[in-house]
Amino acid sequence: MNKLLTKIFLRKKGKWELILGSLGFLIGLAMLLICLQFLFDIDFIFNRRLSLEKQLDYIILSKKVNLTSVMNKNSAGFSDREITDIKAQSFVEDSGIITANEFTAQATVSAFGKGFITELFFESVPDRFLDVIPDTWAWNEESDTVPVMISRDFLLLYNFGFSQARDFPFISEEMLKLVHVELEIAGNGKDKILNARIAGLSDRIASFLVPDSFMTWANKHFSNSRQPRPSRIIISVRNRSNPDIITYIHNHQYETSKEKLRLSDAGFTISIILGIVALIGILLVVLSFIIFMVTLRLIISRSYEEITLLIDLGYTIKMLVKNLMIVILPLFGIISTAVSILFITSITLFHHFLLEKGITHPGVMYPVILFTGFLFIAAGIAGNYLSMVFSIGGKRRR
Amino acid sequence: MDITLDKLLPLPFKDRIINSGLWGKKILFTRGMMVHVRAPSAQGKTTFLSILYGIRHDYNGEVRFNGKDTRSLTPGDWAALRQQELSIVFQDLRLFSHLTAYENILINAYLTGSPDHEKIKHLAHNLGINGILYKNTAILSRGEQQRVAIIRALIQPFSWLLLDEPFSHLDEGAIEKARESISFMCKEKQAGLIITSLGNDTLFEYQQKVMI
Repeated sequence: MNKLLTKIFLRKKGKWELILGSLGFLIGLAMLLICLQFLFDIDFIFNRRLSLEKQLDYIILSKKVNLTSVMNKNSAGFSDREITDIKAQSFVEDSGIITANEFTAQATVSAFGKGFITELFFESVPDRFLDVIPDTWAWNEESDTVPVMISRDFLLLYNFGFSQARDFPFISEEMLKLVHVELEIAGNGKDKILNARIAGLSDRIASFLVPDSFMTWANKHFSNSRQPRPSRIIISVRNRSNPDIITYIHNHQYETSKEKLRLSDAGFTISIILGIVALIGILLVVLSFIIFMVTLRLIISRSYEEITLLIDLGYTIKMLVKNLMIVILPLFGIISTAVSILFITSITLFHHFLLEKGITHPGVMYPVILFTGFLFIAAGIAGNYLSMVFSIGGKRRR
Repeated sequence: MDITLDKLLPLPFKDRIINSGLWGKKILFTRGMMVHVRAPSAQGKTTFLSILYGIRHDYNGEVRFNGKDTRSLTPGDWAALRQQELSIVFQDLRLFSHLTAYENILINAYLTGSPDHEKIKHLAHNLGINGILYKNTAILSRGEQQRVAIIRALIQPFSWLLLDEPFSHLDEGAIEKARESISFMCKEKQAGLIITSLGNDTLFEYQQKVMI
């Protein structure tokens, strides 16, 4: 409106304070918004994406092997009370017992002109805990072949360890399924020879798996021990970054497949760090708000004589505030543009990075978070406007 | 705009026993009137103008503009009056010392729209200060500052021009030039004038002379 008024008000410096305040506001707001988007992304990657894909995380719990369990094997198993307690935890979606064989098993493999015999162990889990259920994954007393699922890691171990040392050929997954295994099980004074075939490979459970129905039958007929305690429990959880899981496992001295939990630990840590950075962002925003208001009040206080004279000459408070706002609005305009550019650039880079890692991002939070940013800026403008109206109003003489 | 004073008495003068031609009296100033207020120092000349201009409110009695008590005016009303009806030359001038003479005049001109640069230059020429228009007022002499303040008051719309000892630092030649400009502008705007001074003067054709 009036360059002269600007000249009157900004004569006594204050320009640098305003620029400093703007810079703080800019950095704080950008930090806050970027962290918010990161937090949403992290949350999405670790939690919501899994639930969107209906994926649960599976954790296998076992007890730590210590001197007591060496002496008394049964103490290494889970008691009914412990199993009930695990089931009752809020983070546990589902739980199942991993049953081990109570009989001796010996496999004779002859394939590709070579043959070997090995003692084996088996485990079974309820089918709902399997990552893949092969077509042939069924067994009853009339079946002539027992389907076995092994960990993919075992095939890798064979291909890159065992086969090379023994000059055995590499085996592909398809070839493996063709291998004929003769399985001899014995116990309780009886023995039986069965056919077995590799039905599939599991990425989830590192073991030799057989169908639950076979395990029940075989343990019933070939076991001479009473029902032992299960030594491994599989649980499914919705949110693996839930810190309660780690705390629970730690408190009960259970052991687990650590990799996934470490990942969840990482997700949790990243969230905390981002949370702290976002908090610092909020603090910066609040501080720069204060710098802004204090500077404006300072300018107004230092211009006490001028304001009084201007009002005595016929200027209204509104005219003066409007004029000061014209000084401030471009600053806020620059802040808005800079924050938008900073935010969009960093989020685009981050999402590009995620895409490279094969993680699709939700992206939906963009507009919401930018809108939040503009709300902050609008609040900043309104806050400063009111602050000025009150402080100039307070300066009005008599 | 008519101005009515009704038993006006500033609080600082309340306890003084005075025989005043102004305080406590009922006086009417009608639009276009030339009024001379004369008094020795410390009798309330500046106080009187300050009350009329709405800067001071510490008085008993009433001041009415067109019959309306000025106590009921809001700050917004006063701002509107100072933009359209009342113009003043303060005794202490009150210029922005870090602005140039021209900028000081523009401050008032901007109040009511776009400034008439021709008129400002014409007035500056008449009053003999066109050479110092672009100098900071801080370095001007008191007499030059007084003329800047007069032009600032003349350039805005008004129906009453309040002059508080406006010629105290001017020589006779300068006073005559200022008087000519003021008379001309008042006539042009059909405005009245209230001027204070220490002694008698015959500068304007006064319709009313008040001795405080």
